[in-house]
Amino acid sequence: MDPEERFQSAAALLPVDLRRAVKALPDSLRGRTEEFRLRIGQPLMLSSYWGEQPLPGFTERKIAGRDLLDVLEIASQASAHTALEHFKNGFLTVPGGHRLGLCGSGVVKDGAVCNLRQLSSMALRIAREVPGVAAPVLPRLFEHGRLQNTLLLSPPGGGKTTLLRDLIRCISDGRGVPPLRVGVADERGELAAMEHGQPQMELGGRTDVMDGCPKAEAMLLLLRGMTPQVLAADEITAAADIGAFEQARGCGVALLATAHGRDLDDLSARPLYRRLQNQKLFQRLVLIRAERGIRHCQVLTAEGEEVPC
Amino acid sequence: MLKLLGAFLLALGASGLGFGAAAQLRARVRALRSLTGALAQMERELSFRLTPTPQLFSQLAQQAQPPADLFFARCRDGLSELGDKTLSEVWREALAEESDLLLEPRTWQIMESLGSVLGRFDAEQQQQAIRGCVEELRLCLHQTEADSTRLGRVYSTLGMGAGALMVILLL
Repeated sequence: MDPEERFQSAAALLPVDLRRAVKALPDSLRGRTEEFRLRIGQPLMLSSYWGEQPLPGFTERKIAGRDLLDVLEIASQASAHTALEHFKNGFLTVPGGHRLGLCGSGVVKDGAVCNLRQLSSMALRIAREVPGVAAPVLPRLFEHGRLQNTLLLSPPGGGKTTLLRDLIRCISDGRGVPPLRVGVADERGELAAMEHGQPQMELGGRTDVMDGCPKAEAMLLLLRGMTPQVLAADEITAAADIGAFEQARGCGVALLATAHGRDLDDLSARPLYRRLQNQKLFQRLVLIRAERGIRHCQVLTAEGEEVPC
Repeated sequence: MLKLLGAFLLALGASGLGFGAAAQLRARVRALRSLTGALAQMERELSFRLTPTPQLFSQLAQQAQPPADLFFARCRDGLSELGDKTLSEVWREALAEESDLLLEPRTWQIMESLGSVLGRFDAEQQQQAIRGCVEELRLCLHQTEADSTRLGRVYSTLGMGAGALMVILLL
């Protein structure tokens, strides 16, 4: 799927009138849009690294509760009951690999948010593939011919998943590096966007994907069953994820993961990630920064020294 | 001879009308049974497996008794237009197109209102709506069964009686 097709497939999830308007946007605005944001009582907002702006010509068209239900119905293939079960992740991955973030009045069960009673806003993030984005980074992740355990770091929406996806593709296909077998623990289905057993995103020819189950368990199952040389997972969020990485490290497998954070100080400030740092589980850190809408990657060692190009 | 044949055909037609009306009542009972059965299965699927709606409709199109199977096949096919139509509209259209369901205004209303809940809410709320719908349809079914037993005989007898009367009058 090329970027235009991806944009169209994301736009197809919007209510009919907004869908038409979004599809008629000029190319420059379409190419820049990363998210559609729908909030009850507000116009549809187009979000990009430059900020948010209302959909041109539709500032008076306010989003209603019914619009949010329509989007949920289309995105979940009229199966809100199935989709909302996965809501505990905070978002749903919809066909095409797009991410639909939901917000509203939560329903708490056994002390955890398990559902939403009333939707108030949505963020539809358009799935992106940027082939080649990993090229300048990948050689710096190798030392003595071995891929180092690597953690990609950026604030939410910074491009971690896009970079991780391209790293997986390059490593798996051996683009500029020796090809390696990659196991992907895709808990939220965002990395591969599996449909009928086939990834909708390009992840390379030597990649095995385990999706739909908790990362920690998926990684262990991949280790046992698929003998990966590299294990990749998106967004470390729980102690169990770190436990699985620790276990995998002892098996001689290189690790690729992502986490939210701006820099090393952000990592140190959170107990979960402090554990990662103390154990030096990751020998490479890739910090993704955006300046004037352009993303730059900085590769650091575990000690915080920059790895030159 | 021609007169005899005409009288015989008239008798046959009148009886046919009576039997037809009785058969219509039995068909209505069968349709309501198949619908309540299919909806009960739908509720179980949602309760135990959270089956996605497209899969649920496909399953019911294959497993439900006729004519509910035809109705769910229409719903399954209609899902391809999701986005341009809501599930509620797809459901309503399938109800309108599947004439074998023989829905009366009351049963039509019960079924139509279910369409506005399906696929839009969490499993618990949908199950609740399906249970309510099944209960109301069962009440209609009991009524229709009673009508079928009582009126079925009446219609058949009336048909035959009317036929016989016309034969007597003509001969």
